[in-house]
Parts: sequence; structure tokens; C-alpha cells
Amino acid sequence: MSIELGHFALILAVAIAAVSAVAGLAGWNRSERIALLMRQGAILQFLLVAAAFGALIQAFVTSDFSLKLAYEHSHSLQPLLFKITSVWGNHEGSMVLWIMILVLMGAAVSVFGRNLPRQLLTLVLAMQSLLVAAFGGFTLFTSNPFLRLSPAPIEGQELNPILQDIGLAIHPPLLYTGYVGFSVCFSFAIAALISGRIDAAWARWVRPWTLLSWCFLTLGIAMGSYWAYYELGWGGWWFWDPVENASFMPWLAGTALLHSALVMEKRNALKIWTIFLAIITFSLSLLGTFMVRSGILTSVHSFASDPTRGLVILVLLALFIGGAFALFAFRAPALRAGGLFAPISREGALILNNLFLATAAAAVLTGTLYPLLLEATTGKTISVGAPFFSLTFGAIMAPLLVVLPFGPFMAWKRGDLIAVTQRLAGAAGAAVFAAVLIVALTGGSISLAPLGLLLGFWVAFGAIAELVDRAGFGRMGIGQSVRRLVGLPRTSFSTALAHFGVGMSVIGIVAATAWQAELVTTMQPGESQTIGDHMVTLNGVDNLQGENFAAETGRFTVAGSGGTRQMMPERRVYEASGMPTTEAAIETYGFSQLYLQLGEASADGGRVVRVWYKPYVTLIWLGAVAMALAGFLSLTDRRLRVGAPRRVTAQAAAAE
Amino acid sequence: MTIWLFALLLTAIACATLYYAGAGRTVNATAGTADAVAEHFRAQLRAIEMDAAAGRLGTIEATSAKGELAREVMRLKDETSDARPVTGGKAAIVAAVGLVAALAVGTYAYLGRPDLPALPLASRDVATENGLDLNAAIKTIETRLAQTPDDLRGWQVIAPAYIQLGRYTDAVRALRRVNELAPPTADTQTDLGEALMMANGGSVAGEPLELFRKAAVLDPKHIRSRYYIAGEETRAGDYVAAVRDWNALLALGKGDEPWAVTAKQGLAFAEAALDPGAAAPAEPDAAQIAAMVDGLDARLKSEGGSIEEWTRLVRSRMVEGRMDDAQAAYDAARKAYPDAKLRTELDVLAADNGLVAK
Repeated sequence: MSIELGHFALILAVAIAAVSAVAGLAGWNRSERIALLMRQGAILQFLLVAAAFGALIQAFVTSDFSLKLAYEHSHSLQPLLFKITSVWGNHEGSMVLWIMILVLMGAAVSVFGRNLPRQLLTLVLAMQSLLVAAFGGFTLFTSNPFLRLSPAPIEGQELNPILQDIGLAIHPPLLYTGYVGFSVCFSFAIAALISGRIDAAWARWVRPWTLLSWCFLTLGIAMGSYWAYYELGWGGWWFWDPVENASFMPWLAGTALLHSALVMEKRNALKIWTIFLAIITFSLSLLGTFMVRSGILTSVHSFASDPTRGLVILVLLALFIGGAFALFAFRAPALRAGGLFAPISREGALILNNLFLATAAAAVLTGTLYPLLLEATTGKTISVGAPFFSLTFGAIMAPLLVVLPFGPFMAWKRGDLIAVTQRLAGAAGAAVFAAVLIVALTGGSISLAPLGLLLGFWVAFGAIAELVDRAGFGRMGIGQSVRRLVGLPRTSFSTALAHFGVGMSVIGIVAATAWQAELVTTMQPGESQTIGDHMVTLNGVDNLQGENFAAETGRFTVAGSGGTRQMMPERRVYEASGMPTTEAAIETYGFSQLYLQLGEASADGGRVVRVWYKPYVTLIWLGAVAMALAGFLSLTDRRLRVGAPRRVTAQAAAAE
Repeated sequence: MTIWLFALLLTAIACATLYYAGAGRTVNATAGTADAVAEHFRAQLRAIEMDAAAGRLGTIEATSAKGELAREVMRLKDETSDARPVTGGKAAIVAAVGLVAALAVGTYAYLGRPDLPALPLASRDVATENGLDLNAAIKTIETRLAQTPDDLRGWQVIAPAYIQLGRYTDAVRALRRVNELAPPTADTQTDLGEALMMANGGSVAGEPLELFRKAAVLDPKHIRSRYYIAGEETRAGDYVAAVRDWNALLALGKGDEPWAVTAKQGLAFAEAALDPGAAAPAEPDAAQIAAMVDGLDARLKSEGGSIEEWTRLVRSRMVEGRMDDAQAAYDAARKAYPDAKLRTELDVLAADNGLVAK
């Protein structure tokens, strides 16, 4: 009965959402009672969807194959963790997860938004409810996770073995929290457009929500990248796969939104721009979640799709995204823009940053959609691959990274570029020194790689330089500087940490791409091969039996600078589906990794073995983790800060 | 119907809290727009003063920041005409709550399956469910066959089901009907012979052997029947005929078929028995027994076989002392015969000798 009760709970939640949306949009400026009704409704929606989700989990854990979804995507032999993650390892279940996070956000607005102006709160909750109603209705009527089977099969099919990994427990919830978190910013933006007023409270609300979503999205993307890296078995960490792009675009837009929201909170400026970015970011999030499910894109992430589903999704996307932009076009001119500033200023730097990020997002969007449009209009099929993205994306990001360290040094409202350049000279010198030193030591040739490395060091050292400068090291006594450093607001540290993280990722990307070593060979048991300064020996191959798979495990010994270590890559065949997977073995040496993959048996009894040595590859993900940590650090600083202009000339004052 | 009870209870609770939140209490008319704006600017002013006091902000900067703030406040005061919204609309609340209930109940009535209980795997008797399915299917066919006893297809379908359930006498009856209703072929004759053999506890002598011989006449290349004939000749000690028939049988195949192993062993045994020069063992020696058991094992695993054959394999493995193989054979047999009723002898044998029913 729990399954049917869960089904009913989901339906009731969607019904409450539908009624809330209509009541809120129709009555936001009529009655305050509506606001109270909707606050309660948002909390109920969350409780009910959580109950529905719980019912699904229970059915999967107890292997209740009278639930069609459990029959199709679970198996009684799967370990408990994978029985649970099977719930969202498919289209229908992942929709429920998506909606659950959406209603969680709605409930959070309801609880924390007690002091928001009622009209704003009503409109925001109405938009959230509209999203729940639309996508909940879509779930119930085209992708219902609660469909039943009678008679119930005795055994289920299996969760796709590639997904039977701890990654499925972490990656989708993080990513969805990121995607869906932006819905709150979106709802705030729509509320501002409908009411025609950007409340002061708006500014205070958007930054924390953006930050929170952005942190989760950053972690989700990094986790997805690392998962692909260790699971797909050929050592790549980013594939420019349409779905990766789909998660990367909202990240780029969200990063722009984050910086823009900063200006709005501190300086009351860039309001319309922030609204625009909020709409774009969530629109790209919607695209990211649903483009794969519409059947127009195929990739490793595609779930089985049917035409009705695809059509409904496209209609929903068109309504939400198109509606939001139409509303923006009609209403934005009526909004008051806010503070003025000179082109050379912190505000100006942030706008420049946003333009670069928006252009990068547009380039990725073009590369992802262009083949589809071309095929739809001319019937020609082309594939836009990594070279296109690396070139265009690299060309846009390189100048952004060059100017990045200047931003935090600029004064609000009116900055002095020459003075900033002087203060950054130390960081620039250090970066050149480090890059040259490393290239000289590793004997690298003249290519783009040293320049990329230089860029990474420049960004990282520039971030540190900002802290050093703000604390006044060199200008005053050490003791006083340390006291000033400790006294700096946490947001200063988070800015520096985030930018330092960018530098780390850039260094990791450049090093792992330019200096990776690869070895593909056939090895007999007892044979050794050398890669870099590591000697890899194949001791033998064992047959092992896992809970729901049979595995061949290679026993390798790796000797080298990091001592002697054992590595055990596997080739598995899953019992229920008969599907093979490879499990690479990865050893970490400092920031570098040795990646070992066991291949098929060769005719002479040997084994195909693929080995990669990837220098500093972990910096790619550690950099992302640093960015996310910086975001959380910034979230802990909830003090309202006003960005005070450093110098106000008579002229600037008169311009207002 | 309990599900409806719970569903309606859930709806009632949800609607009651919604109604209470919206209409059931007086509206606390704080947090108007103007208040929130004023509060926001007060907080900003405090922030500037704190920064100035802590020395993070110079006096001039602080003053100009305050100036900006003051201008912003003035401008917003002009814009915000804080007309407080009316607090009516109880009727709308009632309508909304009613709509929620109607929507939810209506949609569930359309989409839901209140008639289906949850069926966690642990609460289900898998063996019985499988058996019941087969028994139910047999019942249906039997009823139909009672009305139309000339339905050849029906008899053909029901015979293997009888064999699977161990009802060999019924299987014999069904297969006799098959042979009556249509001209006998090598296959139908052999099927009947096999069923009789199983009904006789594995003995081929007598009617089964005659049937196999008929089948071999009907189709000289018929492998299954000739296999049984040669096996029976070997068993009965007619080694001359056995050698001839094993050779003829092996000539029909390529040599890599699953049955070829047993055929070669049978041939070797018969030849050894014929050759007076060799130290012909009256009884097969240990190596030969082992080879024959291995052959049986291979055949059962690839082709399957009767529960008696599985039992024989498990017993042989235990006699050889290869308990792991015995366990493996037992596992395979349990998989092939999930219905516990059929495995009584095997289960007893296994339990007596410490095999585990996984």
C-alpha cells in the first residue's frame, strides 16, 4: 500500500502546487491571505513529495517488483546502496528527485522568507509552484514512476552496470541541487518583472541563493567529471558531450550571475543585468535537465525517450523560457537601473567578466545546438567535437584569465588601472618565474603549454596578492598586517580562494593535457613495463565473484618514486544484464595520478594493458572543490556589506 | 479500500492546514514593503558605520557611501506607494482548498491502482509462485483438453509441463495421445520413450527401447533415439551391437556435441569389454567412472535433464568426494527445478550430506 500512498502523495503535492500557482498569480496584489496559504502550501508540497520519494526508495530497497520502475531498473542481488540509487538512475525516478529538490527550495523560501514583503513572497512562491505543477504534471502523465505491474515479476532487470557506482549516489543530487537552486533566483527575477519593482530585499536574497546553487553545481560538475574519468575507462575527464555542455552552460551563466549579484547587493547597481542573468541561468539549467530527455540529443546520459515525452518537454521549455524572456522584454525597460560607475572600476571589471562568461556560454550553446539545427534544416549531419570547443572556449577564456586578477584590486565606482597594475607586478613576476622554472625543469618544448601554465600561476598568485595587498604587507609592520589580514571580512578570503581555485584548475588542465604519458601494450604475467619513472609489473589475473557480477582482477605492482604499490584494475560482467564494465585502478602520487586499465586477453595468453601517467591531474577537481568551498565560506558571512566608493569626485556625484 | 481511507485522511489533513494557514487566523500585517525597505537601509547604514569604526573604511569614503545611501532611500520613498493589500478573500481560500482536494482525488482515481498491494520480495514465496503459475497453466489446458480431446497442440504443450512437474504417468498418457492423433515421427516416438523411461525410474528396457528402435527406423539419422539404444546395449552387455551403434552415432555428429563425450566413453567401455587381450575390466574403473560423471555433468549443464539425472549427478559427486562440485550441481539443479515438491529426494540427499540450499 505504501507505493499507492506515495503515488497519492505526489499527486496531492502537484495539486497543491497547481492551485497555489493560480491563486498566487491571480491574487498576489489582492489579499495577504493568499501569501499565508502559499507559504503553508510550499511546506506541504515538500513533505508530500518527500513521502512519495520515500515510498519509491522503500519499494526499491525491498525489491518490490510490482512497481514497474523497480522491475525495470533494480535487481534483488544489487547491494543496498545501489538499490537506493537505482531510484534516480532512470528518467522517471530522476524527475521525482528533481521535483523534490524544487519543492525543498520552495519550502526553504517559505520558511526563511518570513520577513519578505508579502507581495514579493507570493509571486516567488507562485513561480516555484508553477514549476512544480508543470514538471510534476509532466512526470505524472508522461513519465509516472508509480506505474504498477500485475502479476508482479519475481526478479527485476538490472540498473545499468555503469551506473552501479558511488558516483550515482553523489553526482545527480549535487547537480540537481545546483540546477534547481537557480529556480529561486529565476522566480525572484520573474516576481520583480511582474510587480515592476526591484525591492531592496531582492538584492539581499539573490546572492545567497545564487551562491548556494553555484557551489552545488560546481561540486556536481566536478564529481561528474571525476566519475567519468575513473569509470568510463579511458582516462579522459571532460568530453564536451552535449550533456556535459548542458551542465557547463548554467555554470558559466551562474558564475556571471554570482558576480553580478555581488554588485547588486553591495552597490545597488546592475539590477536589470542581474535579472537577465537569473533568467538565462535557470533557462540553461532547464535545458540541461531536459534537453537529454526530449530525445533530440543523444549521449551517454540519454534515458529511453518516447516522442510524446519529447514534445511535452519542448513545449514546457518553450513556455517557461520564452515566457520569461517575453516578460523581460516588456517589463525590463520599466525598471530603474540603479547606481552609476566609471568604465574602469570594480563594477566595470565585473561586467567585463560577465561578458566573457556569457560569450563562453553562448559559444558552448552554439557548438551543442548547431549540429541539431543544421540537421533539422538541411538534413546534413555534422559533429562538433572537442577541437571546436577547445579552440573557441580557450580563445574566450584566455583573455578573461589575463584580466581576472585585476578585478578584485579595482575600487568600486572609479578605479585606477595603473595603480592596480603596479600592485600586481609582484604576482606577475612570481607567475613568470614559476612557469619558466617548471618548464625548464621538465624540459618542455616551446608550445602553448608553458603559456597556459603561466596563466594558471598568474591567476593563482594574483588571488594571493589581493589578500597580501589588502592586509598591507610591505606597507606597514608585519604585526599590524597580520592583524589586518585576520580582520579582513570572510568574503575577501572567499574571493581569493575561489580565484586561486580557478588557477589550480587551469594548472591541472594544462599539465595533465600537455605532459601526460600513455602506454598501451600487451603484457604477459610476470612482465614489466616502464612509464615515466614508474615500473608496472603484471603479477597475474584472478577471477573473483562479486555480489552481482563476476570479475577478472589484474594484480599489478607499481614501483617508482612513490614507493611500491599494488593496483587491481577489474573487468566485470554483471550477471543479470550480462553487460561488461571496466574498473580502472588509480594511484595518486601527490597531485599526479597513475591510471591503469585492464584490457582483453590477447591470443598468446597475455593481457592488453593501458597505462596513463597524468601529472597534476587532481588539481583540476581540487580547484573546483576550492571554488565551491570558497562559495560556502562566503555564505557564512551573512553580514550586509556596502561597497563604499574609494574616491568620489564632484563630477561623479553630479552625474547622478 | 484502506488505501482510499488513508488517501482521504491525507487530503483532509493537508486541506485543513492550508485552510487554517490562509483563513483560520487573523492576518498579521507586518512586513509590508515599506518596512522591509527601511529595515534594509538601516542594516546597510549599520554596516557602513561598523566598517568605519573598525578602520576598514576611511572617513571620506564612509561619508560618501552614506550619501549614496541617503539618495537611494529618498528615491525609493517616492516610488513606493505602500497601499496595504486588503485582507479579504476567505471565499477564495475555501475555493482553493476545495480545488486541491478535488484535483488530487480525481487524478488519483484516474492514474492510481488502489487495488494492487505492495509486494516486497521477502514477503513472497518465490518457489510456490513459480509452481502455482505452472499448475494454473496446466489446469487451464486440462480443462480445455477435457472438452476437445483431439487437440493435438494442447497435448504437445502439456506433456513437457507434466515432465517438469515430475508427473511422468500423465506425460506418458499425453504423449500417447500425440502419437495417436498424428502419424508418429522419430521425435514423438522418442519423447514417449523418454517419458516411459522416467516413469520406470530410468530403465530403458522394454517398451521404451522398442519405441527408440521404431524411431531409429523412422529416421536413421535420429540422434536422441540411437543414443538411448546404444546406451541400453552397453548396459545390457551386448558389446558387439554397442560398439557398432556407438560408432554409427558418432559418425552422425562432428564430435564436439555435448552428447559426444558420453558416446565416446560408452564406445571405449564397450570396446574394452570386447577386447579379450586388454585387461578388460568387468566393472568400469575409477577413471572411467569419473569421466562418465563429468560427461553427465557437462550434458546436464548444457542441455538440462530430469531431476533424477541431477540427483544421480549430485550423488556421484559426493561418492567421488568432490563436495564443491556436488554443491555446484545441487545449486544448478535447484535453479532448473525451482519447485521444491519435485526435489524431495534430492533435497533429502543434500541435507543428509551437508549441502547448502542457497
